[in-house]
Amino acid sequence: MLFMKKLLIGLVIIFISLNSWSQKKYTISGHINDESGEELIGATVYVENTKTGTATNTYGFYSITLPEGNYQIVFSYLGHNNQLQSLQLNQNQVVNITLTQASKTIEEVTISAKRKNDNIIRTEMSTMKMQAKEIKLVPALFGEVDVIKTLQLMPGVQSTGEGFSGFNVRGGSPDQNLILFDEATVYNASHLMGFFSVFNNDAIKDIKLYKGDIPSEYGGRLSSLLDIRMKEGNLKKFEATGGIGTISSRLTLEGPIIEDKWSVLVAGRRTYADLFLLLSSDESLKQTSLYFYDLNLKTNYKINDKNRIFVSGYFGRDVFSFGDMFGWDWGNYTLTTRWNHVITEKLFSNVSFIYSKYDYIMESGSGASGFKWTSNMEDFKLKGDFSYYPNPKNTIKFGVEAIYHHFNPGFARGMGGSSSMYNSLKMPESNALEYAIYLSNEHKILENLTVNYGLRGTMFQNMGEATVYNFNDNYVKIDSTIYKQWDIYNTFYGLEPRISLNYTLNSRSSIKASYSRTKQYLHLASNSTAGSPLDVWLPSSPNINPQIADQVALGYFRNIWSDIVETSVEVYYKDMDNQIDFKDHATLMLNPELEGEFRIGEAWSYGVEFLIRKQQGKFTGWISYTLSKSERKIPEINYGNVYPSTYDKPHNLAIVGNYDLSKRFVVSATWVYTTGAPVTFPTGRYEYENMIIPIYSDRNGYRMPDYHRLDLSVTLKSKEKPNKRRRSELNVSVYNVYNRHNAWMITFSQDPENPDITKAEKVYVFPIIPSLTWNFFF
Amino acid sequence: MEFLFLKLTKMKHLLYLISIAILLSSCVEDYNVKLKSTYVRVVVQGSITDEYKTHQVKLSKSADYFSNQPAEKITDAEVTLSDGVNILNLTETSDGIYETDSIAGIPGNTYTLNIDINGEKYESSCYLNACPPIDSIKFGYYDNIYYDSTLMILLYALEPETPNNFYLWKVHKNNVLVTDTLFEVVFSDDVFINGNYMYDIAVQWVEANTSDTITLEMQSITEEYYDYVNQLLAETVWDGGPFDGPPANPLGNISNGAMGFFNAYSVFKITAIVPEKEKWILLESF
Repeated sequence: MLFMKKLLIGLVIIFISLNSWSQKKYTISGHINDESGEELIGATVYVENTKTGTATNTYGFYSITLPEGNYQIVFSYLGHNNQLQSLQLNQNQVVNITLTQASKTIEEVTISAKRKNDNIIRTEMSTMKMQAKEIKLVPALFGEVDVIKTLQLMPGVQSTGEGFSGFNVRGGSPDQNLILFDEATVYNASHLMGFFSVFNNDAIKDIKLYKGDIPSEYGGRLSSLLDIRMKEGNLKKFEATGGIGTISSRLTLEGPIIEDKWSVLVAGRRTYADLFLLLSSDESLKQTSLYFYDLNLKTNYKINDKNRIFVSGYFGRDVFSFGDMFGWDWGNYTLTTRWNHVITEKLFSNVSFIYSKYDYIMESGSGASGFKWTSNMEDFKLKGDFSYYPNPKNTIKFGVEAIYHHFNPGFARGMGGSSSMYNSLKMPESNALEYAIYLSNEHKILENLTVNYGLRGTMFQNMGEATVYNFNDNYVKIDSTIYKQWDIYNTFYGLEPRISLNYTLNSRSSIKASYSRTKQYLHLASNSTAGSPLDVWLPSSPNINPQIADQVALGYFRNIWSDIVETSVEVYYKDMDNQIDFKDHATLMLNPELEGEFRIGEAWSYGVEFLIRKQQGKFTGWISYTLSKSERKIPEINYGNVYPSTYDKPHNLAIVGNYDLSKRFVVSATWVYTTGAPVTFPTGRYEYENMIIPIYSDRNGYRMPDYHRLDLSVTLKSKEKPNKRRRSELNVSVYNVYNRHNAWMITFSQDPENPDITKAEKVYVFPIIPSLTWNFFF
Repeated sequence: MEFLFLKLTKMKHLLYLISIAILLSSCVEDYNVKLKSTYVRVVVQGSITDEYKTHQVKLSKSADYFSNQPAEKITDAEVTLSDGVNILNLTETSDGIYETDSIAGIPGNTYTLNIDINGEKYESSCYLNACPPIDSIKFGYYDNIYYDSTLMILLYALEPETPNNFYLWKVHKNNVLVTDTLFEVVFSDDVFINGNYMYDIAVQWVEANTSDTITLEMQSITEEYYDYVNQLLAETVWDGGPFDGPPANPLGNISNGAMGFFNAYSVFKITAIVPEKEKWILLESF
């Protein structure tokens, strides 16, 4: 606890020293929102006279302190018209701004072209920011626009497999991504085995992916932070958005309960994918049900200019059942309650209390032969985040976070009561506490040099009631230790420094560099390429150390064409310790001695990412190319030799383009190309009990064939009538236009006609798939 | 339904089912791939049971994956079997097949197999478990056109209270072994049923009709063999693709890099004649 005390003292000292500077300086602060009342995250505030600026935080709040005087201030945000305010500053002022949406026919930017170079002057690197409406344009599988599928088209981000929602960032495994939905951790972001993500695009306001250079406010995962913010709900008028698609339908309703003060948003979605199974000729498939639904709720209430309350929730469920034989359902719940409080015009605070839960239930049979298996994990999180804006050269952030985790990895039992013929098996439950404290400052040291430095201190404790197994050097359980309820029996802690700097060469280009250290205390016990709903999260423990990563990145950023097009090149190197793999033939399910299946070692990855992106005008889109390598070395895996990780795909290219042919007609196209994933193939064979058994090669010694695919989509919008709000659009999209049979799985088997002959077959999942979606808005 | 549960005790297999169900639209094509070669391994398939008969050990060689020939047999090897006290020499009765004289293994013993192939030595041992008795078997069926002539063999037996028992079931019809390939056997641990009286549990199935003679063979196997069969089937017929872990070679119990398994088990066989359809038990359909 000593280092935390030191941090607090350091904090106080900084406060005092900064306050002693003030001499006749006043603060302009406020919120920036769009026409419907939604707060704009990262909107820029630029003071022309002093050539300094700031940006709004995640709650749309900004604050800038200047000496007494007259100023021209430009407020801007991508896709919106700039607003210029002339201010006479002789006292603290609250200036709230509403920005209007820019018409799409404007190619060039008016007033200050400088404001478009936000990406040049911010220290942020290794991040991708997207708006929900950009995601809507990308042609989608089955017409289902999806946040994660679109992110998989960004440099440094890869899909774990065709159609899957899991993603890898810079050679990290899918469980190393911290996915936050309105600050609540989402443990399983997939519906239907990963073919769809749990995020309903209509309810989303903003998405930001950090691939490295994760800010000090966040921690807990090594490779990335995906911060998704839900819309608040229109504060001005009632709106409905929805759509009927090939696979699912959705409806979002939002509006004010009290205009400008209290709004509500409800978004729901349900698939009917299983209807297609009715068309199957296979009898057993006809009785299969497979569907998911989800619901997003948000309400936000402005008590006054200094206080706002938000409550948001997510509830989603996947259901799979096979006639009466068995049923299986799983899903996430999250609930976030937040209080924004403007303490002073320079100090903003947010206090949140968050609950998340992920669970699944499997049932089969009935009566004496009935059987049920349940598993879940829950988090209770309390956090306080503060932003302090002492002067235009410094933005200080600090805060604390405490999480209580409860793990119930699995409880399987017969359901027939005393007549049941099955005993029960319970995996030991466990609890953990995770704390963090952080302090960071974005410091403009020179005119063209800004450094963002910060430190995050974290601590993790295991807490009883729990049963801990002790293993010997051969991973065999020797005995177990039992801890009583609330007994703290293991503590890990660490410091995670984060530093990034921006050296601006000129108004159009800059060089950025960053270093960060991250620690991860929770691990996903999964050894398959595809995530499955049965994957179990485990805490660090006396048997499993926390994962650690150190990442360095260097980038060159340049805007061209009057700042309309941004380009960047970034190289990174990431070193990861205490990485998890599993022994051959690991038993991960319903195994109380699961920790004995872990094999721990190192992993590392490096690469170069190129991006060209245009976000305004009639033609928008991007080209992203990543060249990378991702390897591992773990004793007992592959005889201790280095092997490529399952996500080592050296070439990753995505080209995305959208073009407004006219006001009512938009065409979009996506072309992706990736190297095939590493895979283990047989090299030999032998016979045993009339079967041919393969002998396997080195781990990941082969590759799947390369993957590429073209998607197209066309959107036709209804005529915009001046007095009618009702609008609709029809979207036709085609997935895999040239019908490439991309290998999803390669199998080796005996020829049923001639058992001496073995052959290889390719399974492919998605041939050309057209889909139709009708979206409406009123 | 119940038999499916036994087979699906490892839930991984459920995922196999699911991935098939989801991939209703998935298609399969032949795939041309060039695979590297690998060095030749010795493969051993041998067993000793508590039945009074000759017991066999088969020796063969591994080959490259697309060699597409029957496995090459290993001849002129020296094979001996020991129970710790006596040593038996096995005689090569045909190419690659080495047999003992008629003997019966004794539950409680550990049997050791020693093989010498041109100076290279291989060794394996396995404990012979005792087998609990089966009280009776009955026949069940599902009222479903899919399983028209398939009879479920229902087991009635008391599972011993001692934990860590493992079983494997095979079926004979009219004195001929039906389940002669490894993926046709059913096997289970006793985790969920330990110490319970098993009734109405379908442990095997057979295409048969009234007046066929059905013999259910229950084997009491070791945990090592149970793991081996599990791993073997996971790498072959139960491959769930991306939902499974990476493939790996099953761990046999032979030393010096040989593949395969030397298995010791005891057997309980029970025979019944299939009665008229009215006497068959209707099982919960799905």
